[in-house]
Amino acid sequence: MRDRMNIFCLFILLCLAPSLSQARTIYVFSPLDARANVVQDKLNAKCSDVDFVVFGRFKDFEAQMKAQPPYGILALQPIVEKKSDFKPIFLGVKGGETVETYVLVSVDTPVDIKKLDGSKVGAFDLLGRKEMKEFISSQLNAEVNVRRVTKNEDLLPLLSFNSVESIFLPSSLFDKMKATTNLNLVSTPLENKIGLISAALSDASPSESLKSCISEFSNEINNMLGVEKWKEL
Amino acid sequence: MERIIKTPKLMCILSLLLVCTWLPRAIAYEALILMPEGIHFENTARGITEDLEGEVTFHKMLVGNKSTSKDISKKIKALKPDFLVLMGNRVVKLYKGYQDANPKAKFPPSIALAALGLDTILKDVVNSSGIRYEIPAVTSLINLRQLMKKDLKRVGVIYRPWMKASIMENAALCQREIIELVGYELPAESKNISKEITKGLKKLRSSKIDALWVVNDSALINRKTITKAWLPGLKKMKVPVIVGVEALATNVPLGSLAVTPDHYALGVQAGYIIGDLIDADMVLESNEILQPLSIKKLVNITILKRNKISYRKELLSSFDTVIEK
Repeated sequence: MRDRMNIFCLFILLCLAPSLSQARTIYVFSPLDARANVVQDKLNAKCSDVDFVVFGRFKDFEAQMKAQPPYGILALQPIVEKKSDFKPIFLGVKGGETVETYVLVSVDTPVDIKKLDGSKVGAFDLLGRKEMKEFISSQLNAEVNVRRVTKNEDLLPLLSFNSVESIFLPSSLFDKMKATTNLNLVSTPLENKIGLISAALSDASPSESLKSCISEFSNEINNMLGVEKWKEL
Repeated sequence: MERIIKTPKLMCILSLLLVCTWLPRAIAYEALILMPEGIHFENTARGITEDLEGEVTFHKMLVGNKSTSKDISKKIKALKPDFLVLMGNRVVKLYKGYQDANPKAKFPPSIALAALGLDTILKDVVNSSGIRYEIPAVTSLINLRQLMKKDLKRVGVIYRPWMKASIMENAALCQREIIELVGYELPAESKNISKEITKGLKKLRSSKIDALWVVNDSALINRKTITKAWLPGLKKMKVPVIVGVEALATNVPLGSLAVTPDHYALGVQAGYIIGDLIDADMVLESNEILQPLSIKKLVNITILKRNKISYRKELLSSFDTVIEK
């Protein structure tokens, strides 16, 4: 009888093991100014019952998502929307909105958004080569060539070295970029809005401690993630 | 009647064969990466292969000191790649040797990376493009200007005559950012280069420069010149120094900022050229050699503090490495 009980307990443990280890990790992937390890340290210091793993590059994020699916993700909404296994529980908020407008940044002359077909546009790589081309082309209603970068700071060199005609950037980052250069950067506003970073989990009922951890991220963390606060869904 | 039935069957088989021969091409191109051993080359290759996963099948050939143009020739003839990636100076040289030895051959497009002086060494390579390895001064200086609390207006550089064209090009790029690159050209021949560097540093000091950019040139930067010229000369010049090798800001107290290539991102950038090749069905539309976009940044706070150079602490999180002892 005892042997049967032991086998049963072992079976239950083995069944639970994957979900126990899975419950610990939240993957973070978003365009960041700070290096991934810095953001990761800040997040892990804030929340004790989950491990945050921050990815700087889409390919690393995507590979890890396949190899070891996490408990949750913190990512921009276009990415979250593609991950049907994860249900958004929090949306990042900035200026009272959960979405933000984008601009096309160019040097000296604004971009003619009706003549974008075939032009080269720089953007942070959120989705990989093929999907980024589709995503940016759909945002601009034009067939464009997308030059993807793996760091926000690499967008400016794309313009400096004439590798692109314009770059696709959240409007909130335009002034920040303008402050780093003496090039005469000009912005052309776009109509579409894209969702800010959101938190999505594989579990429909997250613990209260996790919820309070995310909703109470420090200003420094929120600033790094490009939001001011979080809205629970 | 039998014949009538057989003909459509034959047509079907032929169509199937046609589709089968066309299908692999549509799924993936074949590429050959010729590269030396080394972590930086590996990272660059990873950037390329991961980015184009599913679209291109990559084959690697390690090129060592004993490899010859004939070895490369054998591999190319056996594999018949749609395009090549050439990494490192030796590989470019051997590939040039292969082209020279096979003047009548049709060469697939090639993309050269992680090699110094690409503009010169790639000039006579047929159907080739590439990305420079040297980080332009303007990239480093924009990062330094952001970090410092003081504006950068004049930046000094000491160089040998063979670098003049590159310095001029860098000066033009800096000018767009309203930074003046103040050059000091060393004599073409000198028995005592340390003495010449000391003279150059003295001259730049009197030019009231805001920072110094040290170019990667082994004749200018070596153990002898560092101890005899650079370190003593810089003691009198309390300005931030940008170097292109991490060791010069860690093992040697010379650079306050080290800016080096981001090898993975270099591979991703090569993916732009390859992506264009795929879109243009393997026609290389431009032989242009591009500037590298992405860098790794190291800052040595100890050196900045020692020289009483103030900096924005909040920007340290954007550096890959921060040295503070």
